[in-house]
Formats: sequence, structure tokens, C-alpha cells
Amino acid sequence: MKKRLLKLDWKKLAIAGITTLAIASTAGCQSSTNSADSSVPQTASSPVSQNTDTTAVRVGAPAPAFTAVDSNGKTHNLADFKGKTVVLEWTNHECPFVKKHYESNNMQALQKEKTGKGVVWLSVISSAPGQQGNVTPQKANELTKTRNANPTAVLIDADGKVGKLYQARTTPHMYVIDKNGVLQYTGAIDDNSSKNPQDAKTANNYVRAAVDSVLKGEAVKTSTTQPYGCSVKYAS
Amino acid sequence: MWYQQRAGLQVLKIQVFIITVLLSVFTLLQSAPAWANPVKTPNVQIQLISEISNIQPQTPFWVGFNFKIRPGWHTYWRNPGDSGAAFKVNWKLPNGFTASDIIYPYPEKFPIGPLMNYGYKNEVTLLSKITPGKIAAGSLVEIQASAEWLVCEKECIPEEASLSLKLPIGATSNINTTWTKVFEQTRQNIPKSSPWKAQVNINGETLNLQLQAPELKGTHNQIQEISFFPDEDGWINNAAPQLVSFNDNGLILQLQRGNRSDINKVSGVLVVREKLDTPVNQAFNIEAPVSTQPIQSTQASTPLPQVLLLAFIGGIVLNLMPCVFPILSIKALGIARKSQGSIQEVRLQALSFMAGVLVSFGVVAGTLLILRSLGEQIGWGFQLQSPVFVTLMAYLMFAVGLSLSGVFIFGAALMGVGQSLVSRSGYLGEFFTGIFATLIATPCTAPFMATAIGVALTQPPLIAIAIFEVLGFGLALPYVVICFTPGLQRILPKPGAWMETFSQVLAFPMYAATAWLIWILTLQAGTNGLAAALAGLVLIGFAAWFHQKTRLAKVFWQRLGTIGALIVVGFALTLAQIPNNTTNTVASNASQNSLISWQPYTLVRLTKLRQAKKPVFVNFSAAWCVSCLVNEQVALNQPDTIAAFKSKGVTLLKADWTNRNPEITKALESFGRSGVPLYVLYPATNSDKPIILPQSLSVSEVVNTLQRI
Repeated sequence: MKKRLLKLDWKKLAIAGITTLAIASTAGCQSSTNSADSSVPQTASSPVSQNTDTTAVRVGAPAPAFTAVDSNGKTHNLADFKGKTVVLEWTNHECPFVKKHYESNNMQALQKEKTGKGVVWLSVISSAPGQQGNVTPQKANELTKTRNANPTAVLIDADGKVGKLYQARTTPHMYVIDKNGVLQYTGAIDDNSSKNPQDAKTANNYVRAAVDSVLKGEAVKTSTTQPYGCSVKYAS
Repeated sequence: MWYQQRAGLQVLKIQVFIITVLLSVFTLLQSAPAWANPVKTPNVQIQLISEISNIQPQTPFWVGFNFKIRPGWHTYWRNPGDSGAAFKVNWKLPNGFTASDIIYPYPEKFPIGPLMNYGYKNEVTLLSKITPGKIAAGSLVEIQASAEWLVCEKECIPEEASLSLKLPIGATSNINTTWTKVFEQTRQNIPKSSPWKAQVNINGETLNLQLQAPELKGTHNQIQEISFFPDEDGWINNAAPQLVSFNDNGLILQLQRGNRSDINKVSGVLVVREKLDTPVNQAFNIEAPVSTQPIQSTQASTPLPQVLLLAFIGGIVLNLMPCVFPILSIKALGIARKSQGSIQEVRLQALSFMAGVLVSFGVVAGTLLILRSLGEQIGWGFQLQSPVFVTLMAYLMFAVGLSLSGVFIFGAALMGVGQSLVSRSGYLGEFFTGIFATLIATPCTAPFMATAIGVALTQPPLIAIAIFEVLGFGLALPYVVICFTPGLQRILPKPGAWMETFSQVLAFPMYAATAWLIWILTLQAGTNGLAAALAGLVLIGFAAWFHQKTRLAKVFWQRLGTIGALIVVGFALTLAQIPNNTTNTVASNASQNSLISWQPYTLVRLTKLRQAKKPVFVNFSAAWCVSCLVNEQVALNQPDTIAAFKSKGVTLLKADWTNRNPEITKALESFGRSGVPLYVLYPATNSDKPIILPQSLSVSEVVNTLQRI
């Protein structure tokens, strides 16, 4: 009998204990808002949940290695161009800012001028299927022809792999890589973000200056700028 | 004849034509003065608007470019973000006139795939201040602006417009009421200068923006979102998440570094979105120098294995805490007796005990995490903020102490003595002992473990639970080890009469713990709480004695004793509720740095002041409300505002709602509000209705309102 009573008490005690714990949790939070001091660090909700744990593509660091297929089906590797200065041009022929630089013949002239000096010029199209500026290889070649463009190759990057690797944001977004594979310039093509084709002629062309400095083995004066233009039309 | 008719018709036609032209010129002239007709493009309607309808020579005035944007489309802030282009304007102004740079309201974020843009949707007005030159009254001046902007949905369209605004010169300036609301609303959204200093620290790819605002520490419950918009590109990765945390110095925004290799300073706009009845945004201009001194980041950088090791050691140390030691040591000593049973059984019981500890730590951790996710500000020991819990723990400690002293024998199973060891309930008993050990450990853990567990709570849920479980494992381990090693059991002193003395000695740490808890309670609930708790202790003492006294009597008396004891304990538990209701209302010192002298708000005081025909300003505020703190710093606690209050002889009352005072709650409800901030200006005459000011204040707002009374 005694044993049973003991057991009974014990169960009650256990229940009381759990209840106490429960009361404690609820009562605790009621008053907690009133206490202003707490050394406990707090984490408020963050607006964006996904973490893009990417290192910025920065001037002075090696340009990320990539492999991509061009409009003629040829595979290019950044490493293939070691010893040469490489220009990357993100493009989208339907973007008004790209049109500004092609209708003024600014881009073609720069391509011709620099490839003539042995520079490798790669135009990259990162528009995803169904998005503005997405083209078939044939269409890409046709655009090169009709616009009198002079790139070394046009890379079709419909999955946005190279674009995301370089954190290419706009069309145009320009990169200059030196003969050792080090990034020397990233940003806008020039310092006038207007849409007026006339401005392309009078603006200070950052890419021309950067390529010239790199070819001369000099430091690039303005090496990181804010690119302007349409967003790169990645699949969303 | 017919040609005459025809000629007559011709003349009539010409006359009609001339009249039409004249009429249209006339209407044009009539409609011209205040504002130009808006320009409509496929995606926006833009209009150059003026706050005044006529210019006074050499008196600056405000104009704005009012955009009405096609739904789903957006235009850009001065830094458009990853793509896009900022608004551009070319002014053509009369001689001697100048226009300021464009002043932008704070922007919002527009994520586009992996990119992030900063801009505006629906409607926005970009401001500029025009300073007229010397010009004779009576003439009409024309302000011309060719504007260029980019408007995007997914695809972008550059657009432009040539806008013109004709304004007459007059001796006095008149407000153009058509646009008053638009200018007022726009000004609400222009970032204020920050009341807090900021500093930036770069650590690898992380850029920590520290806002030196210790007063924001208690406000994180209120903050829904914090966004930083940088003035320049390349300082931060625009699309990366911006993580908010708090430390003793205020608030830290953890950003991802951008692609610029040289960062000497970071400036931009910080938008704090506060959860209120309707969420309120506060925007500040901040400029932060880059400091080489690392910011004490709360994103714990201690590696996980080290944290786990610390938790484990902490768990073991818990065994020595005054609340835990008596129970577990006696339990351990009891093993010798247990060892009469099979070794396996002892081991299984030890594991049951450990399971109990682990389960209860898991429950505590889970509860904490759930509450945390609901936004409560809690840490380990959060229970100790509740007077009820503190009282209950004091009772429990006292009861265990009495039991150890031998006043009564209860829950003998707890001590591992006197219970039938072979019975199945042995395992269950051990399991509950584990839970009991956790429960009884909490008061002792709070002061020692708060920091370590604080770290655990900043971790992702699974890691946080792991840390708690390791802590529990540490707590249970010594006992389990003893159970598993018969060698150790032999070293332990043999049970005997000395154990009774030993347990009586161990009662004193329990009494000490009781005394400590009662002291904490006094701090929380004052003397009323103390009286209730002490009365409860007396009742517990009586119940213990009564229970034990009847133990040796007949079954009837035993039952009566049990029931009687339970009733008395129940009564004591009711008493435990009293301290909660008498919680000290500690006056908030949120306005400690204030230049303004606030008087505490009471309905009686307000009524008296109003009867005395005095104007009154009531500031409904709370220490945890971000907007309240901001408004007090940037708008109320300012020389111009104070001077305006003084010149109008306004009495300043502060209704501090930090502790959710019911009188203030009622006052808030009378204005249709369920929370702070609320600013009410009562004019001197009772017949005039009280004026409610906006939730985001500025000096000019307050001063202008004061001029109205």
C-alpha cells in the first residue's frame, strides 16, 4: 500500500513538474518583452533568404576560368587566350543601350580597333530562352554580319553560366583581362549613360583606355565602374 | 449667287478658324500659370509641378517631377543598382535662377533574377529647389526641363520629355493647393539625417555596417526589415541578403562586399521598416567611415566543435551547482544499493535518466526556438523574468530542502532510495528524474549559461538543438559513468547512517537557492510579491510536516494527509500568482538624454490642463519602439521644436507604454490606435479637435502644426 502511494505521489510530482515547465515557458515570454536588457544577440528576419555565397569578381584578381561554345559551334576556354588581352562584352541586340552603341557604330569601331592590335574580343549573349535578346547561333552570326561587328567570337551563354560567373549585370557590361589572365577592368563601356547614340562619340570610353593601358603594360586608371544599361536577361 | 454664298461660307469658315485659334490661345494662357500639361509616354505620365502658384523674387521654392508609372513597371533611384539608369535633367532656367540637385525619396528593391535594382513603382516625385534671381514682379517666368529616364518592367525603355512650367512673379507667394499633398507625402519619404553614427568594417567578403544605436537593442521585435541602399556601385553586392543582428553597440547589418577593391567609406540610405498598425518606414542618410577595428559581430565565429565542447563542459559543471548537486550526489550514492540488482538493470536505468535529461533539454530548446521564431526576446533563463516561475522554483527548492532535512520523505524515488528497483516503473522513474534534474537545474544555469546559450540561439535550429543536447549530455554524463563503471561504485563510500547527515547538510544549498530566488523575486515584484512568496513557503512547510505526520497513521489519515497537503500546496501555488500582478512599474528612462522635460501622462493631468485652457502635446511612446526613438531624436528633441513648444506654452506629456499601461492603452484606443507611436496636440480651446501628427515626424512638421494653434 505504501509503495503504491509513493508511486502515486511520484506521478503527481512528475506531472506538476512538467506543468511548471509549461507555465514557465508561457509566463516567461509574457514578461520578457518588458525587460530591456539582454546581452543575447538577436537576429531579425532577413529580407532575402537565399545566400549567394559568391566572391565578387574583382580587378587585380585572376578572371574566373570558363568554357563556352560560340555561334559557330567552337568551344572556347579562357585559358586558350593566355598571352593575349581579352575583352568580354555582354550584349543583347534588343536592348536600347546596346543599340545606342551599335547604331552609332561605336562598338564595332572599338572591336575593329582592338582586335586589329591582337586583342581577343568575345561578345557574350546570356539571354535565357524566351527572354529578350536570346538568339540562335545563326541569328547571332547574322547580327554580326548585318551590324558589321568585329568580335573574335560570339559566345552563346543561354544558361547564363558565364554571365553569373562574371556577375555580369547589364548589357553592355565590359571586362578587360590581361595576358596573364588577371582582370584589369570591369564596368561600363563609357561615362555617359544616356541613350542618345550621339553621346557615344563624345563620352570617355573606359574600355578603350583600359585596353590601351593593358597593352602598354600600365596600370588601368579607372578600373572599376558601374555598368549601365538593361539588366542581363537571365532565366528567373 | 452661288459663289457669293460660297464666299460668305468661306468668310464664315475663316472667322470660325480665327475664333478657334484665339480661343485656344486664350485657354492656353489661362491654363499656363501654375503647371505645364503633363507629358504622357506609353509607360509613365510625368509632370513638372510647383509647390507655389507664384514666385517671390529671391525666395527659393520647390518643384518636383511627378511620375505616375504604369503598373508593374519601375523607374530608378539615383543609384539604379545592378542595372538601369538614374533620372537625368537638363534645366533651362531664366537668368539668375538656379536649381538644386535632384532630391530622391528613399527607394525600394526590385529583384530581377539574380540581380537587384533600386527604384520606384506606381508614383514618385523627385524634388528640386529652385532659387529665383532678381526679377520684376508682374512678369511670367518659364522653367524648362528636359528630362530623361529609364522605365523597366523586365525590358527597359528609355524615355524623355521636355517639360515647361510658367509661373507669375508676385509680391507674396501662394501655396498651390493642388500639389500640397504630393509635396507633403514626398517629404515624408525623403531620408532624414541619421541620429546615429555608423561605421563599416570589412572582413573578407563580408561588409559589416554598424549603427551605433544602443537604444535600438531592445527594439528588434519591432523591426520587420532593414534595407541599405548604397550611394555608389561596387561597395556591396546589391542582390545579396542583408542580415540584421544586434549587439551592445546597437545594430549590425551584415552585407556582402561588392567588386570595388578600394572602399574608404560607405554611404547611402538605411530604411528601417517597423511593425506597427500599418508598417512605418524610417529612412536615414548614413555615412560610415571604414574602420580597421573589427566590429564585435554577433554572428558567432566560434567554430562549432568548440561551441559543442564548451556546452559539454558546461553540462558537466552543472552537476556541481547548488541546485543540482544535492540531488544527483545522493542519487549517485544510492547506486551502491542499486548495484545489488543486475549491472545491466542499473545501466538501463542510467540510460533512462539520461533520456529524461535529453528529452527535457530538447523540449526547452524547442520551446525557446519556437518563441524566438515568433519574435519574443528571450534567452536561457527567460523563465526567470517571470515572477510566477521564480516563485514556483523557490517553492520547489524549499520543498527539496525540507525533504533533504528529513521533514518529510517525498518522491523518494528521486533520490534513488527506497524504490523497488526491479519494478518496471524504475525506468520511467529514472526518466522523470532526468526531467526533474533539468527543471531543478534551470535557476542555476541561467546566470552561468546565459551567454553560451545565447550563442546557441543565434545558430540555425538544428545546431541550436545540438548545443542544448550536448549540454544535457554533459549534465547526465557523470551519473551515467558512475552507473556504468562498477569500479567507481566501489570507490564511492558505502551507504550508511552518515548519508542521513550528508543529505541534511545538502539541504542548505537548497535553502540558499531558495533565498536567492526570493531575492530575485523581490527585485521583480517588490514587497507584495515577497510577502506572497514567503506566505507560500510557510504553507509548503506546513504541508510537508502534515503529509509526513499522517504518513505513519492509518490509511484514512494517510489519505487525508495527502489530500490536505495537496490543498495547502495548491493554495501556495495560487499565492505564486500574486507577484505577477504586482509587477513593479519601473519608469522607463528612454528620454534620459532628452533636452525636453516631459511630464508623465495621466488622464487626470491631461483633463486638468485642458480645463485650464492650456495647449498639451502628448507623446505616446515606448522604449522598444523604433519610430518613437527616431522621432524623439530627429524631430522632438531639436532646438527649433523646443523653441516652438515654448513659444506656444505647450505642456509636454509623455505616455510611456513600455510596460503596456492600461490607462495609456485606453487613450490609444480612443484614437483608433492599438500601438505607439502616436502624437497628439491638444489646442488650448476645448472646442478645437486634437490634432494627430504623423507617425514619422520632422522638425518642420511639428513646428508647422504648432503654428496652427
